[in-house]
Amino acid sequence: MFSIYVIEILNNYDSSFLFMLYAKVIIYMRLNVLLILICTFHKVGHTQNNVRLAGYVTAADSGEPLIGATIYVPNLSYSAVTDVYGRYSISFPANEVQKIQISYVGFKPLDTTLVRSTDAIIDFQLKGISLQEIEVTANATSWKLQHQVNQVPVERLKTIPMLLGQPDVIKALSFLPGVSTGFEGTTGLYVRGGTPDQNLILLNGATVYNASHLFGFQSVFDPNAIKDIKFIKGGFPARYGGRLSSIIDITMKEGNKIERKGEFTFGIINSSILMEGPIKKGKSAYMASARAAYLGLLLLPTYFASRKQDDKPFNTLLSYDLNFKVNHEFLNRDKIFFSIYLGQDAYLTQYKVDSTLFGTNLGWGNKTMNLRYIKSFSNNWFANTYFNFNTYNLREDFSQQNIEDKQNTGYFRQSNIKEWSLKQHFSTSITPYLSFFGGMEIQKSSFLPINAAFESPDYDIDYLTDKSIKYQTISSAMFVETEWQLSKWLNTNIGFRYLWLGTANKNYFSPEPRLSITAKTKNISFNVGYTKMRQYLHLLSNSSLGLTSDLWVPITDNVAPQSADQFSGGIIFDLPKLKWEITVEAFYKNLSQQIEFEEGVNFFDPSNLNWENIVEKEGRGKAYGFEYLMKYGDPKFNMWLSYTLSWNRRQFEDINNGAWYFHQYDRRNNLSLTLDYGLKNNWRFSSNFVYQSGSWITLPTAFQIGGRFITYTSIDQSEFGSPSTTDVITQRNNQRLPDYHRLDVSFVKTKTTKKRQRPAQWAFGVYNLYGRKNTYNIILSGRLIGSQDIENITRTINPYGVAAFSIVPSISYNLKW
Amino acid sequence: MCMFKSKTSYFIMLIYLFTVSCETDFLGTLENNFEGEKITVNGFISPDSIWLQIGKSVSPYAGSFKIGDFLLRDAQVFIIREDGRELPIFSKDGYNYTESQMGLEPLQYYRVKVISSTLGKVVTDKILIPDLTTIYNIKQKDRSDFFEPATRVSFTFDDTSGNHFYLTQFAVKKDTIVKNGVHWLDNIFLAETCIERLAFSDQCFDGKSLALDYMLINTYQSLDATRKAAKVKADSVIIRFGQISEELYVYRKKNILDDDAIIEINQAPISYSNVPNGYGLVFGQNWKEYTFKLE
Repeated sequence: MFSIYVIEILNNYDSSFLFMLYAKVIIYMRLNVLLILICTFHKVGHTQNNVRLAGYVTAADSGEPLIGATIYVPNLSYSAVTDVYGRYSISFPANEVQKIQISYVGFKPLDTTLVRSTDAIIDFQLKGISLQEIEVTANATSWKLQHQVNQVPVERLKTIPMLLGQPDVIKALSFLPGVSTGFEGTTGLYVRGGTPDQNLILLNGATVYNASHLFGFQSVFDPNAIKDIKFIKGGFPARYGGRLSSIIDITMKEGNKIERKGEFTFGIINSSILMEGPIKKGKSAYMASARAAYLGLLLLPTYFASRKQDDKPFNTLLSYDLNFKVNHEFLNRDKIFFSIYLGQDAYLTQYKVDSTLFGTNLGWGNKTMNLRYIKSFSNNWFANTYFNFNTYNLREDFSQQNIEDKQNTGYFRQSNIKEWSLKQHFSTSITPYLSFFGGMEIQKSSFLPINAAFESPDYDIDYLTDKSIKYQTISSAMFVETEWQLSKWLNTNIGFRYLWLGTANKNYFSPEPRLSITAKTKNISFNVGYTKMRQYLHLLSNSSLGLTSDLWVPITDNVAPQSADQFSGGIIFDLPKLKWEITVEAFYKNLSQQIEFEEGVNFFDPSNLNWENIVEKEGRGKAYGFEYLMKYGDPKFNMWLSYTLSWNRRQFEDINNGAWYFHQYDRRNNLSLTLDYGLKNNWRFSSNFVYQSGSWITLPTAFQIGGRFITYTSIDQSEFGSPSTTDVITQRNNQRLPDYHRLDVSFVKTKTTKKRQRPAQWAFGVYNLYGRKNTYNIILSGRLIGSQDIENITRTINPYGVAAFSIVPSISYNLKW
Repeated sequence: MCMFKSKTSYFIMLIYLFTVSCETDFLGTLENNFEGEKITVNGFISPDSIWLQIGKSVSPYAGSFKIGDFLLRDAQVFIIREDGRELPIFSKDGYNYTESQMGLEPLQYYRVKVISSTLGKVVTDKILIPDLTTIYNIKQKDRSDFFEPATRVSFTFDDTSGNHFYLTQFAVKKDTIVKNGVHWLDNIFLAETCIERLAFSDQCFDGKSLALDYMLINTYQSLDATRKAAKVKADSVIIRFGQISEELYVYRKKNILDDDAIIEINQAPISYSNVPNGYGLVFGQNWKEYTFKLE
C-alpha cells in the first residue's frame, strides 16, 4: 500500500522517473517478501517456545520515554535497547524464570523477575537520581552498544563549562575522540576528517542546515528542551543516510505527562524558559520552550561610540529559538507527535561616512516541522511514519542612503533551502537474536543557492533577481537492516541502503552497503565496520570562519553527489569493578566528488550567481587516525579523557597545482580532559582541558619584486614600474598555527529556593582560565622605514597573530518549578 | 562600487567584532619554508615593447629586509626566439629591463632567459605574443540620465577559432592626467555567463564576432587646492583593447581576491608562475589604444 501511495504522490514527475521509481518499488517489494520469508524461517526455527515482551520504558516522575535504555536478560546474555520512543521488544523462553535488568544513565537501575507463558505488554518506570549520583560510564553489558554510537547524557553535558556559560550540546560533542573544532568557539564540527556540512543534524527527524546562532558561537538547540542526543561517526546503520561523516540525532522532550513543570534560565547573553505538562494526564502532553539571545546588549558600547563618531559602526545581534511539541497516546498504544522549531538570527550594523548612511542587515534562520505516527501492529511489529518540512533562509541587505536627498541605494542577497520528506520505517524482532529494520524515504528539495538584486533610484535594473538559478532535486532511499546475534560472542549489523538522486537531466544511483561486526568476551569487545555514504548537497566555503555566507548548493547535472567509504574498528575494555571504560578505535575514510571554490574566487562577488562556474569538482580526500577514549565514573567523580591522532588531506586537479594538501582543520593531535567532581554543600566542580594541534594556514614561501598584475586591467600603471613586492605562495596550507589549548572551569551550586522549595542552580564559569591567546591566523605584515632611497627602504617583517578569545567569565541562574 | 566596499567592510568588521581586542604577538615559531634565493622574472613582451622586472627572492622569515635585497645586480637578460636566437636586453634601470624596438612578432613564441653568476640561470616557458585584434563599429554615447556623468561605449570585434584571451582597459583623461575609469560591462548576459571581468577568454564565443557595451563614469576623484577630495570631469576616455597570452588570464582568475582586499579570510591562491626554477610571470600582449573626446 505504501509503495502505491508513493507512486501516486509522484505522478507529477515525468514518465522516465516514474518508470524508474516503479522498478525500485518492485525491488523494494521483493526485499519485503524476502524479509518476510526470513522472518517466517526464524519464527519456525526459534520462536516456538518463546514469549514476547514489549512496552515502554519511561521516567517515573514525568512519563517521558527514555531513549536508549537497556533491557538486559542475563540468562540469555541478551539485551535490547529502547528506540527513540522509549519502546522495547524482547523475547525469551516461556515458563522460565527470567531476571530482567533495566538501566538508563541518570536513573536507578530496575531489577525484576518474570515468568511468562504468553506474550505481554509491560511498561517499566525508572526513578531519576540526582545529578551527583549519575555515573557517566556506559553499561557495556549491552550488545547493542556499538562503539561508534554515542548516546550522549544531556544532563551531564549541561555541566560542562562553555564559552559565556552557555551549555551547548553540539559544542560538547567536540570532547569526543574523532571530533575536532574549527574556528574557536563556533559550533562547526569536523568529524573524522569531514566538514561541518557532512554532519546530518536531525531535530525530531527533520534536518537542520545551519545549527548555529550568533555567527556560530552558539548552537540553535536549547539544552533545556533536549531529551536525547545520539551521535554516530562510523558504522552507520542503514536507516541513516544523506551525509558522509556523522549523524547527530536530537530528540526534544515530549512533555511531562504527570504534572505541569517549568524551567527558567538567566545567562549573560541569553535567557530561556520552558513549560511542559499534561494535556490529558498520562496520555498526552505538551512542551514549549523559548530562548532569546541579547548579545546586542553587550554591543551597546558600539552604539555610544557611533553617537560620538559618525564613522564608528553601531552593531546589534539578536537571536531566538522557539520549540513546541505535543504528543498523544491512543488507546491502542499508537502515538502521534507534532513538533515545530523556529529559530532566527538578526545582525544589524549602521555607520555614517560624510553624508552617506551605510546599513547592513543580516538574517538567517531555520524552521522545521515534524509529524510522526508510530504504530504497533503487535509486540514485535512496529511502523513509524514521518512527515517533515524544513527550511533554511539567509538574507543579507546592504544599503546606503544619502542623508541630504534621502535617496537609497541597496544590494541584497538571499539563499534558501526548502525540503519536504516522507519516511516510512518498519521494525521487527523475530527472535531475541534477530531484528529487522526496513523503510523507504522520499524527499523533495528546492534550493536557491544565491539570489541577488541591486536597486538604485538612478539605476533601476534589478537584473540579478531574474537570473538567479533555482534547483529542484528529488531523492528517494530504501533500506533494510538486520541486527543478528549469531552466537553469545558474535553480533552483526548488516544493512543496505539504496539511494536515488535526481536532478533536472540526470539520475544518480547509489548502493550503500553497511556492515558492522562485534565480538565480545566478558570485558572486552571488538568491532569492525564498513560504510559507504553519499551526500546530495555540498557546502561551498572559502572562509575559515564558517560564516553564514557559506553557500549550500545541491547536486546538479554537472556536480555529482559527494561520497565516502569508511572502514573502522575498535576495542572496548569494560572494567565495571574499577568503573573504567576504555575505547580504542581506528578509522580510514576515503572521500570523493568533493567540491571547492576555484583558487582565488571571490565568493562575495555578487556577479558570481552561477556557482557551478567557479568551483573545482571531483576532489578527493583521505582521513585516517586513531582514537582513544577513557571514561571513569562514580557518583562523586567523573572523567573523560579523549585523544585523537589523525591525518586529513585533500586533492583537486587545479588547486595547489594538483598536489595533495592538508585540510585546514587537519589536527594531528587532539586531546581533551573533562573532569566533574562533587563537592560539599551541593557544589559541583567541572573543568575541561583542551589541547589541539594548530590548524593550517597558507603563508608566503618567498617575497619577490613585481608580479602584481591584479590591476593590470587599468591604464594607470603608476605601480607598474614601482618597486612593490608580492608574495610567492607555492603550496596551500603550508604552515601550522601554534598549538591550541585552554582550560575552562565551572562551579555549580544546586539548591532549593527558601520560600517554595524549588530546585535552583547557580553556575559560575571561566572559559580559558589562563588567558591563552590561541591564534587562528597569522599575518606577515611589514612597515616601511628609512629614507626614500629605494634600495635602502627597510621593511620589517612582523608576524602577528590574531586570537579570538582571552579569559571569558560567565554566570547563569536556573530555576525549575 | 561603494556598495561592495561596504559589504567587504562589513565582513572585516564582523571578524573584528570578535577579535579586535585579541590581536596578539605571534606565539611560537613558523617553519622556515623559504626555498633559498631564486631569480624572479615578471613582466610582458609585445611587438612594440618589452618590460620586465628582474630580481631575486627574499625570505619572509628573515625578520626584515630592504627593497634593495631584491636587486639582482649581475643579471643578464635575453629574449630567445623560436629559432633559438638570443636577443639581449641592455636597457636597465634598477629592477626594470625595457626595450621598445626588438622586432618581436605576433603569433610567435618567445622565452625569457636570465643568467646570474650567483643564482644560475632560469628560462621561462614559451610565451606567445598574440595577434592584434582590432575593434570596429565603435559607438560612444554620453549618458546624462545616470547618477554620474557617464559614457556608453559599444564596439565589436572578430574572434578567430582557437583559444584567445582578451583584455580591455579603460581610463579617463583630463589634460595630461590619466586615471582608471569606473566601468562595467553592460551586456548583462555576457557579464554573467561569459566575460570574467576585463580579462576574458573566448570560450563562449569561439570563432564569432562579439559586441560589447561598457558603461564608463566620466569623473574621477582628485584633491583640490585645499587638499579636499573633489570630483573632476574628464575631457576624454581611453580604451585599450587587444589580446593577452593565456598566462595573464590564468593569473588574473586566480588572483581576483586580492583585488578585494579580503584575502585574510579566504584561501590565498597558489602563485601562478611560468618561470621554472624561479618565480614570476611573463606574458605576451598585443593591443591598440582608442581615445574619445567627451562633450
